[in-house]
Amino acid sequence: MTLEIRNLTVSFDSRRVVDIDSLELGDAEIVALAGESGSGKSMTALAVVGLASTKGATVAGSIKLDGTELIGMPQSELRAIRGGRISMIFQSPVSSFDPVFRIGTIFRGALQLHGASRAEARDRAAEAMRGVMLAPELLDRYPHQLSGGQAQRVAIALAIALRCEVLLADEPTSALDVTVQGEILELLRRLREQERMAILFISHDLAVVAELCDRVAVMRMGRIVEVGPAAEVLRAPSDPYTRELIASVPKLTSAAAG
Amino acid sequence: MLEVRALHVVFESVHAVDGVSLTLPAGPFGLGIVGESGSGKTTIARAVMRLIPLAGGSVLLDGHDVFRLRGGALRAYRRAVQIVFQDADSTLDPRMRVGPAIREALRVHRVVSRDEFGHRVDELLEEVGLESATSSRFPHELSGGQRQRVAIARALAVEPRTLILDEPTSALDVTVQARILRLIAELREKRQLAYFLISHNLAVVQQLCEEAAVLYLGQVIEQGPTGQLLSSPAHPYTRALRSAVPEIDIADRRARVVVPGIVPDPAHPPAGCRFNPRCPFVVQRCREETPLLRRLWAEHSVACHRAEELNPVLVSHGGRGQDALGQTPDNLGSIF
Repeated sequence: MTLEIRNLTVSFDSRRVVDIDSLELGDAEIVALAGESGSGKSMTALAVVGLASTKGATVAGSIKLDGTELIGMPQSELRAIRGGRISMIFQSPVSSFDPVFRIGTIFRGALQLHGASRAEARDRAAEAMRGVMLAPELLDRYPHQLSGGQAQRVAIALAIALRCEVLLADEPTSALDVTVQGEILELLRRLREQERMAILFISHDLAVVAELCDRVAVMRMGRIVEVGPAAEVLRAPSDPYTRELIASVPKLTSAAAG
Repeated sequence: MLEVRALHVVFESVHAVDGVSLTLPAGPFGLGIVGESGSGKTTIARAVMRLIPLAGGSVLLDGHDVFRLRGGALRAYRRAVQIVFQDADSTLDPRMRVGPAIREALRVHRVVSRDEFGHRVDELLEEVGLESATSSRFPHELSGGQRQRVAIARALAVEPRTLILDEPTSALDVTVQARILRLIAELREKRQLAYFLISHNLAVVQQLCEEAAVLYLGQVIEQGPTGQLLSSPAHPYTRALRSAVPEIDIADRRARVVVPGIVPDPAHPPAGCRFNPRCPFVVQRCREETPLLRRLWAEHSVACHRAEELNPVLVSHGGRGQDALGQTPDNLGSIF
């Protein structure tokens, strides 16, 4: 699996919110899109799943999944890729599920849409839940009956059940408590190891990026200002904005407070 | 001096805050209140502001029971203690321009005479790093960071001695957060402010607070000088919390202490130590007897039956010496 972005622009009327020359995501690779609000990181992800245009944006350029161009692809074909080969999870998982359906029903609907039989869907849902260390019994619950951490695990389980190859994760731990965040990061690491899933990890938190990601692309005002191996970029940033971003992160040190 | 004594707050039958005592000395001084969702940290802030009734305990300002204050004395308290919330949008009236919003605080509390309002508003805006032209703006015309500066200016307008800062930077971008934290640090020295800083971010607390208290399910489970507490956390929960903080610098990373399970339903807290179902060091006593917050050494207190046994280096060295402190987490890490 390779996802290749070339000369991607996303615009609202004359305002260009994304302008990316080049970005790639390889097999089992975790790449961060890091930046502050308004940097264009979420809009980039929406463009990849073909949802930016539904928000009224004009998308131009090229996004290729294993050589197949996604931009300009009819929505009917895109739907098969979205949720199938490419899945997306969000900051607030509870609100990304339809509240009137039980979790199991949501799984069944998605899996059957992508060609699984009813029995197959049930088995795959249960297996995926165990894969994220949740009891399959939670499939009987409604979304609001889950904690934030559980709901994010369920969202990830859905991506696993769909056998997705690319996971777009938009601030998936930002709304979670720090101990729960740690568990979700651990889970994403396992996903990459065991399922060979590639992850585009969108985050404002460079410390999380440092812990999880292989490479990082730092975005500012729609553009990538710096890209490279996460450890290198964060240790020796070459762009002044990246430097400011890193310096701004409050750091825990052994020294006492002043 | 602002004191919270044996505070109990009950919502329906849930003990959101269950016997919390904290003392905030005169400024400049920061006391950090750290905890995850449902720990009761925001409830403490609301109780101190007298926004909710108490089920027990008291809040005292210089020895006076805040919940008994009436009339002029209550107005004086509202002037002495001001709050800044995470979300400035919810504190600023969207239909009111910045200048009138600050002037209103000056007027209600009769801080200065009417003809000085304009001048004082300019001074306050300058103090928080905003141009005087900001006073003619509506909140929605400002960025999140600017709005939080306005909220701080309005809190400072009545010349409080004490602030309650409830996650003041959590909704802001990281570069903006850094500037607001610097502003708070400056103002604290200049105005000799004392504050409770409520935060889920340990690094933010470390930057701004001499002392920190860690809450779990409505109770303080560890408290002490911030540096000491973070470099040598003595309670298993604090250790887990500390180790879960992601670090940019690989050299700063610690072995992760994973706590299994989720925070129990506060309506049905476990018997004994509230952390016992998730604690890797649990023994029978922890399931039966609630550990009291007690002194481990000097100013460092912990609510854990096994604190001495689990922190031998810390106790024998009286908490001093970086080497000894540095060793403690690793030694214990092998037990996990």
